Amino acid sequence: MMSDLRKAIQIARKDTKIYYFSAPTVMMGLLFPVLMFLTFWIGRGLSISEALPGLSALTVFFSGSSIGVTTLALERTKGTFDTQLAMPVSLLTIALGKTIASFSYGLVITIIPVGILALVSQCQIMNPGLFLVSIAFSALASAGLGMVLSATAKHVHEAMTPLNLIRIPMMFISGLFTPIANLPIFIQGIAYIMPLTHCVSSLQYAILGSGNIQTFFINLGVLILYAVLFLIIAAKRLEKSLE
Amino acid sequence: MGIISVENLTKYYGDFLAVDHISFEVRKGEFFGLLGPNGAGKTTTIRILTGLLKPTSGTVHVMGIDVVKNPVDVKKQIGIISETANPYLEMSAWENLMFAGSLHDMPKEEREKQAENLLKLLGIYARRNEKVENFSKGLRKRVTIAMALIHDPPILFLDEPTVGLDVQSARMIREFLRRLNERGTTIFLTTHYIEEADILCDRVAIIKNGKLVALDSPENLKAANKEEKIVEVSFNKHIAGIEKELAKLPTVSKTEKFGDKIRLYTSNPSVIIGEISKIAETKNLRIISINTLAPTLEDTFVKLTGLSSLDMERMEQIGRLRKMKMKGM
Repeated sequence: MMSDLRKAIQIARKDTKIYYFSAPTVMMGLLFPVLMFLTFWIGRGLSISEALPGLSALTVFFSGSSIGVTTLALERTKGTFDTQLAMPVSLLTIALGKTIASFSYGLVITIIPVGILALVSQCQIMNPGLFLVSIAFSALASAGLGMVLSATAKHVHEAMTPLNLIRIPMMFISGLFTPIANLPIFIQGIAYIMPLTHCVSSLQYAILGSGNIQTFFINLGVLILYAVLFLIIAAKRLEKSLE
Repeated sequence: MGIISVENLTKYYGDFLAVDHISFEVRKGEFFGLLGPNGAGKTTTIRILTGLLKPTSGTVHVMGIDVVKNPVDVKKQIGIISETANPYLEMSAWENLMFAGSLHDMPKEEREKQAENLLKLLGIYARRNEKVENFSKGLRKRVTIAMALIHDPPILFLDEPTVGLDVQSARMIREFLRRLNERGTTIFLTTHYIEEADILCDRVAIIKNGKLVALDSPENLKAANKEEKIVEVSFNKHIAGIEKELAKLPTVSKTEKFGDKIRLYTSNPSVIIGEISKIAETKNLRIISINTLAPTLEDTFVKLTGLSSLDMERMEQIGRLRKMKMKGM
């Protein structure tokens, strides 16, 4: 078990070094939250503190799933995935390693710009500890989603297209732009099974104090459930891709 | 039980039968070759043997461990170099080896010592800190070999290790593998290069359409073909239809043009040599050279599979182009 975890961390370190520290990835990572913030904030008459949960949720969800989704397909094309398969690691360990790398990237790329923005605008985060926990759980769930979709992809577009087909509609029904209560009943049902909804809700509690602690923990529970489920599905899909 | 034991191994891809109930054993310390044309089932077989692919039925044991049930435990004991595997181009040769060692849970000191040894043996130690993207295909293959050997495995599996390499790199790799085998490492090699199997392997299994059609030492396989000898002749000039005329000679089963030479397959070379002299005289031809050749492994291979090494090379090229197209390269 500890050996598997050590190996997963080595895979994550390798992925971070190769894919996440490349100049375009870092640039995209830094630019993305700024663009997201402007898209979300301009013309909506929101204060920075009101916009902060949405900005954090979008950034963590998009950054956590964007890069990880490409790495497996790239490794398949380059033949380095076969090199990894030749090593004594299970497919679950490979999936875990890649999820850890995506998770770390999502975490850092969200915390740094959001932290800077909160400091510069002197906006108060009501519970910084819960904010960090919420970002961490959201990053884990979004990294897992990326892994599920990339597990069988031979080319980057094969993973990116379905990911965007899921992520973009999710944005509009997760309570980011319109409160969920204002959505039609059947859409509300869909919204509550979306991980982004629970990410937004938990961040609204951590930053603004809206909602209650019970809902916050339910949100965290759903996010971790999604993370575990995504990891298992990703490993199964990886296994299927090798048949 | 051999160090590798395969029983009734079968693999279907949908309705397509890629490997058809094959059974064989590889002995400890042996250099074992799996030879066959493109699409014969070589890569599928080696992928199953190394735990990269699950069989439809049958069993595989490596060092007594069931590969299907415990693929990770088997991978701890073996080194794998698949045809499509590459090192990470964005990392240096040294970093690639350190990464491979870390996935084998090797302590840092041991990893470094082994990496230094291997890179020196493979002639790339001086370039260890360079990114692999600057390396030629041959050098990249050497890095892949070093990665597969970082934990000093008792068994090494190689899938077409010299395909697409320049002559010097291919020769260097063959020599390295030969030395490794002499030191006691069991080597399982798939190749479509008949000569490679002939010069390296203690025993060769020939696979065709997923079935094993022969399994023996290269010399025994050649000897199985001994009733047929080859007479190779070259004349001072070429006359149209000379091959057909030579093919009509008694005991000649077939003729083949080999550059400026003609090969006659016969059970009685001494009679044929006399007959060739007579034909040369009547056609006003001068014999430049005439030799009797023993059958080669290729001759046995051709007899068993119906394919020459030239056919195999063409098939491999088509296969490689297909793979590149599938990868979108």
